[in-house]
Amino acid sequence: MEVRTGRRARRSRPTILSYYPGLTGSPLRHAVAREGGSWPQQQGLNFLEPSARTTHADKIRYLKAILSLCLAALLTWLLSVPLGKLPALGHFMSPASGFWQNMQSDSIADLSIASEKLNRPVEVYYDARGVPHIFAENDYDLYFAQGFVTARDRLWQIDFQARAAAGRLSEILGPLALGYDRAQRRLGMQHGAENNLRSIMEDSQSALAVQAYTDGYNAWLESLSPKDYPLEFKILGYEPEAFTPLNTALTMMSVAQTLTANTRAHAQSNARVLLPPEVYEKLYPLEIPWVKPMIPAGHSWDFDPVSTTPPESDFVPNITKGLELPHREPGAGSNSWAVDGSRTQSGYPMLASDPHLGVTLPSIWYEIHLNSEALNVYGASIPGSPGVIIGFNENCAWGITNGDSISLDVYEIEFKDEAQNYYWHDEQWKEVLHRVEVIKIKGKQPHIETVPYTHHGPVALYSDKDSANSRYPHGHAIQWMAHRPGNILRAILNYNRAENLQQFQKALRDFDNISMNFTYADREGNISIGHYGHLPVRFSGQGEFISDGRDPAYDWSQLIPFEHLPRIKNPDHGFVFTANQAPVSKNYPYFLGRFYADFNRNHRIHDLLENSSGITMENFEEMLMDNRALTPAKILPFKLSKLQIKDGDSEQSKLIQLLSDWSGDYDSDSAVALFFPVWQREFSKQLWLPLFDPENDIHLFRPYFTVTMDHLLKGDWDIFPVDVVDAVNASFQQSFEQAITQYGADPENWHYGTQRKYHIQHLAYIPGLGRQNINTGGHPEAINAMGNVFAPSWRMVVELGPEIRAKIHYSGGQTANPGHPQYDRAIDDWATGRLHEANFWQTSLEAAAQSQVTLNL
Amino acid sequence: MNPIRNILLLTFLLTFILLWFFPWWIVTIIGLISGAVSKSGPWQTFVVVATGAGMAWLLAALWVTQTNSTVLLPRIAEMFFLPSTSLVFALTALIAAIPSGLAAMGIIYLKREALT
Repeated sequence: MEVRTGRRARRSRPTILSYYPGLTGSPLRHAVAREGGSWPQQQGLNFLEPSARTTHADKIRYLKAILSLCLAALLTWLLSVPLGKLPALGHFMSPASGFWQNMQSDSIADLSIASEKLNRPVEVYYDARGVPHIFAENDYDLYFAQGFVTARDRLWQIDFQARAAAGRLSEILGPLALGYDRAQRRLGMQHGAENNLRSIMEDSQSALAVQAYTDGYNAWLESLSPKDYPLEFKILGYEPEAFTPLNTALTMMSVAQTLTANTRAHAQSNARVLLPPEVYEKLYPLEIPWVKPMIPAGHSWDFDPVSTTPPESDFVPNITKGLELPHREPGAGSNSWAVDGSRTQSGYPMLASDPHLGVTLPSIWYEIHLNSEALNVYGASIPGSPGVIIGFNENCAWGITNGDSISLDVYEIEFKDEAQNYYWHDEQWKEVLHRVEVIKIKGKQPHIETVPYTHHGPVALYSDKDSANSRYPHGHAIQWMAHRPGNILRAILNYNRAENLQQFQKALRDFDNISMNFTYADREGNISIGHYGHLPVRFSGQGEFISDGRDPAYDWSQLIPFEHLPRIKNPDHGFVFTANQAPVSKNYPYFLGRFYADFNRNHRIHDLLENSSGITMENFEEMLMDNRALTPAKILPFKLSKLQIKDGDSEQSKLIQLLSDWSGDYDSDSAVALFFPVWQREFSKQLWLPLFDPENDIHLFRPYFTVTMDHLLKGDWDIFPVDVVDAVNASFQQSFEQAITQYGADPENWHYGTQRKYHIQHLAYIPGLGRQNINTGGHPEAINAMGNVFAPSWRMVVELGPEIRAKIHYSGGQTANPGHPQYDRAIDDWATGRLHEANFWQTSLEAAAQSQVTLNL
Repeated sequence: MNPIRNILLLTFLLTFILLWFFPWWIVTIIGLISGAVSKSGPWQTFVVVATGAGMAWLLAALWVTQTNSTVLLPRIAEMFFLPSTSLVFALTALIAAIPSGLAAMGIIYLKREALT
């Protein structure tokens, strides 16, 4: 009989014995004997060899078991946690709880939720574009439903925007967002939001609206399980938090930051130090050439202005080095205009509004219709806040543009010592308050940011490389109107229900800490325009430069009285318009600011309206999509006359011919529209070298191109540090080379719409969730101001007849779910200019008969 | 009945049902269960269990897409730099398959040692 050294033997237990080789012989022999076998003597000393092999194999098998199980556990763990920028893939890819659950059908899912907090039943009807029409019986229920339906479509956006405003992104994104968060804390975003919240909650009307909105939002949130959370929560790996009234205040601060937190003070201070005064005035004139102010130049101001005393000392701030300037596209801004019945075909007033903001997916706007016994309003709301910002009700319509008057001043501060506990002001040392900001960081210890506060405001962020978004010079304090207690929400809630111009303007008295222009038209036939918001009474130039933080003359001691703010109604010429240009001309008795938008858009709107009669809604739609910039027609003849092209260069000759024939329309099929801005940028850059070189350590804003153009056309060439003709030619050659490399050798084949590479990014820049390569015309200098950052974010035309008619579109879908077909479908209509009739249903019965889906709360 | 087919069916059914009620990592637990029941060799068990779990997720994903729009798929593919949306399905199946199969294989190895 042979000794079995095969499988059976391997399954015996020599593994334990094998650790004691001296004992192994005997039991094995017995085992063999028990099986009736005999132990081969000749194997003698060799009997341990097969056993040794078995032991080794068994070890490997255990190892394999452990390895497999460990690998399974490790893989399970790795797939359960985010790795780098990747989401936790196990959760994310699960068909039951991951992204698959964010796929939706083309309809809007019907839903019924009962809430104990509602006083009466609320009906919500959705139309084909997903616009909710809310019919409630009282204000609480109305704003509850607004919070509910907005959360339903925009939950992640609201959550993310509130965190971004507050400087809390590090909590969800980790250390990469710390610089951004520090900048937000240093800007005093939470400080301002807390001040605003106090004002909101002190007023019963706004407090009720915010509380109702909060309850509605949270009712939707509570109805969700993690699998229902919007996609971005799953990608970024965090959970939504409950809404609080502070989030509404943060939303308002976020609007204020977008519109009024910019400053040129340090750059203008640098320019004032480096340039002779007469040159400064030539490069930065108080009135920008060819601009038509919002209030016509001849307007007389029938009031006694509040006076202020300029400082006695001739303060010159220190040069600011190394702080780069924020990039701003020339011309970017907003449009709004209104005409009275004398200019329309129908005889009714009409209004258009077209705010240009950062265009992202999801959109900054949410279209909504609110109807209760005391209110019937339709338009653009901001997710995170109750009410309608831009829109119309049964009586009137209104539009907005950014006011662009100075609302933020930068102060040079003299601290007693490095501890920054005291600062010099009004001939004495005053105590600095320190606000401790705790910034939680995902996966790390919290960062403590102690922000010093003077009576002016918080001391800005150090301009170090860790700080994203740093716009203010190191160690300077910021005084910002948005920090002051204010209740813009109350203004919004009241103008939503205005019945006439008087009530509308009364509501705007509360529109306090953001400066904006409002256009207005009503069914009684009135039109109006005004520059609203709290603005300090300034001496000339105050706020344009860095202010002296020691001198009380630079404090904001008084505000311009509401009655003195620039506004007109029913002008003889029958129209009002704003395109962020100067609200007033030089004869207005208060200094508001200097750097308003140039002539392009406001001149074009003025020309189109002035030469029109029998205007229809379709005419307004065409105006909103008007691609003409006026700069090309002014400057191209000059530039082309100075060009010296080598004979025989057929491509350059072809391009020059195209430029000569160009009207200045930035149409999508234009070839030269692609080239002209490139040439303009290069020309402007070369003209103003070397002082204005962006590579310099001391940064100055180049003069507006319209100012440059004015000097060029007037022959005032001594102002330029380089030879003008050389700059024309050198910039042309350089731009041509760049264009043929980028767009192809034959200029006739260039195509502005497709080759300009117009993209809309996702709000958090998540790849795949934006829309790439949108074929569109437009340019920041045209009414259709399609810039790369700012663009028309909402287009609206309203006719104020017996039955209000409105046409609207905006740059995104109602739903913010990338898994819903309507997420970005509206972008095609937005890019091509197709507006949609708004369903301004007057009763719930009418809505029920025509709507797609009903949501009963 | 073919024991391999039994394990395949068991894994598939357990995964397809339990994935709706438990976190995603239930696939690993199901792998352990399938491995404990399986009488096949380690690699064979790995393949069968991984196939069962992967198919369950794949079918569940296909089921979800049947009643909804698929506009999200190219977006997810772009996010993961995948050249085709079919690879999103493949990735989904793999995420269920690999941990499940490995867990089953580990149990087979362990079981052999424990029984001898």
